[in-house]
Amino acid sequence: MLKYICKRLMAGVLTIIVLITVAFFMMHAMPGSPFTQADQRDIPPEVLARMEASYGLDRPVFEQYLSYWKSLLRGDLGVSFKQANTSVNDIIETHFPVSARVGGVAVVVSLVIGIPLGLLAAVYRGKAIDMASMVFATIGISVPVFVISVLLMYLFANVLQWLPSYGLTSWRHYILPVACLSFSPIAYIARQTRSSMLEALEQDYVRTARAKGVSELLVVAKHALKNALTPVITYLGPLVAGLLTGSFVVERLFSVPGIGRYFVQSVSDRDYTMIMGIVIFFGIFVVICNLISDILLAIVDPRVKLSES
Amino acid sequence: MALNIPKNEEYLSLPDEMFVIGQDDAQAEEIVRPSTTYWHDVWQRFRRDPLALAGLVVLAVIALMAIFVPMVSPYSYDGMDLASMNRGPSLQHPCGTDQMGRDLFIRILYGARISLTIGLAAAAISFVIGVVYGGLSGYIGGRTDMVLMRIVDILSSLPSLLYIVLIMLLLGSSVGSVILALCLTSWVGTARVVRSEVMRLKHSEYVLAARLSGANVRQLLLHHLVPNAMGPIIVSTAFLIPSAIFSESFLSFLGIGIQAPMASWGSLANYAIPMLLSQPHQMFFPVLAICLTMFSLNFVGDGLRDALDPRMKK
Repeated sequence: MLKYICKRLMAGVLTIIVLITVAFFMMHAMPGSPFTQADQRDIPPEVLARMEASYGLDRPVFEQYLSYWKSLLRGDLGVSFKQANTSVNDIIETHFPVSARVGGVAVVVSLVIGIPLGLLAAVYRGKAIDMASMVFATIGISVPVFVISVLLMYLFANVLQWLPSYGLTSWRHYILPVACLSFSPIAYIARQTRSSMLEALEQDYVRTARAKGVSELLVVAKHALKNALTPVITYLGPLVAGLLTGSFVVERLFSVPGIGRYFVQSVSDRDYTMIMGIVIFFGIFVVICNLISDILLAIVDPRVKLSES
Repeated sequence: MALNIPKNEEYLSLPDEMFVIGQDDAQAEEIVRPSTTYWHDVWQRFRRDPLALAGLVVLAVIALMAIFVPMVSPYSYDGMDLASMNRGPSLQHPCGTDQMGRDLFIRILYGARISLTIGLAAAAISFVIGVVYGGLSGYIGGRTDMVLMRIVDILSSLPSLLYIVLIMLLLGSSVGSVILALCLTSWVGTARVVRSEVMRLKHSEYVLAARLSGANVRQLLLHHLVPNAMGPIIVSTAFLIPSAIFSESFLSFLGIGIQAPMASWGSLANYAIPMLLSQPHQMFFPVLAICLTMFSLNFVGDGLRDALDPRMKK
């Protein structure tokens, strides 16, 4: 077990090192310095040189790379190029908790709705509820998140005026963003649960349990479901990643002051340190989530460890 | 010494009074039905899937309209007409006009050109990279395979959007850079499929026979291994098209992808947000186009999967 965790951990660290290196050199390959923008084109060259010197941009690239690493290891992601006296750490500290709250609720909602939906579809295979949940799953997988967000916003906030469409001040403000974020994860989880449930229900141990006279409810809930949930656990890590990327659109549309909206803004501002800082933060976050779901899976399903070694 | 052992033939031939009903020696070698090829078989199975067939028809209609309508239409994607801004759907403008009086129908068709081009190009390039990378990795195996697969693991363990945004920033926003950014991240899945198929097939007798007759690695891969693994490879490539269109519309919706005055479905939806209350049709038609295409592509993909490998059918 420990060996398995160490192996996964090392792979995660390697991934992050590669990501940081790629991000750093890509940012430095950008044409022009971050200070030569359309709106500031008439900066005198000596001012520009002094600005670059104060951010350390005049030193050789490799030296900058090393010093970036040094400050990273102290947990310092650097200072924004565009907003004076704002560090990337400040931005993440203020805006990430907002995203985490909305995303966390969305993760719970996706699991609480998605698993029972897939379960019902598998147990009542071929019946109306199976058809309905599979139609829903197909919609959730095919329709992009921004389309769903726009439609829900138009319907519930503009036409019916039941729910607020921007801000995040009361629980009612959470409903629309969470619904949009969890729409396609619900579909995916339902589809996954259904197909692995169908497989589990055909296994010998289920037949044995039935033959012993175990009630159908217990067979489904205890014997089959426990084994059918492993693919869902594998999906949990990427789910969090998916909610982070989905949140770009949802946070922008519903004016949620989260990290996703800030990332999109820093991309259009070409705020290089900010982009890099947030990318690295996302990367580390995703790697940790994947690691946790891998370890969970190894605990639940001992076969995983065996096939790894 | 006369042990009276019957000769072998006597065991084999049936006595005259015994015969197999319905079996005539003259017909034994006759081929009753025409033999079918694998691809003919696939088409027969695909044809029986109404959703997949409908998807194929919808895609063909969208593609034909995207190719030919702009050639004959009086409007162009950037032709503004300030006298007719924000019009609803009418005979003159089937999908209405936008904030600058541009015909929305023609802009959606130009968007279809861009989206379909990006989807097809990204899938085709990913297919080539994936086949070469996965094929070599699976065929050579050993340490090379381990290193190549670690690289794939690293690439796929992060959301591809992070890389795509970085690449888009580096290259600027254009159709070419969107395709490149999508290709650089989406070949990974195909490479995995090709690798596992090649590893499964590489110890087959026909591969051994080809090697003995002096085939080199390129011939082995392109003429023996990849053609026999074509089913799963096509399925994984088919699903790359909708996911590329998905990513492109996502990027354009956020304002990082296709730039004005060019139109893609994502950017059309993006322009429509501020007008959502007063001009809902400006949102409705681009969104309808995206949904129709995504549904069709996914149905065709599902149909292909069931047709190419009936065992995978759920």
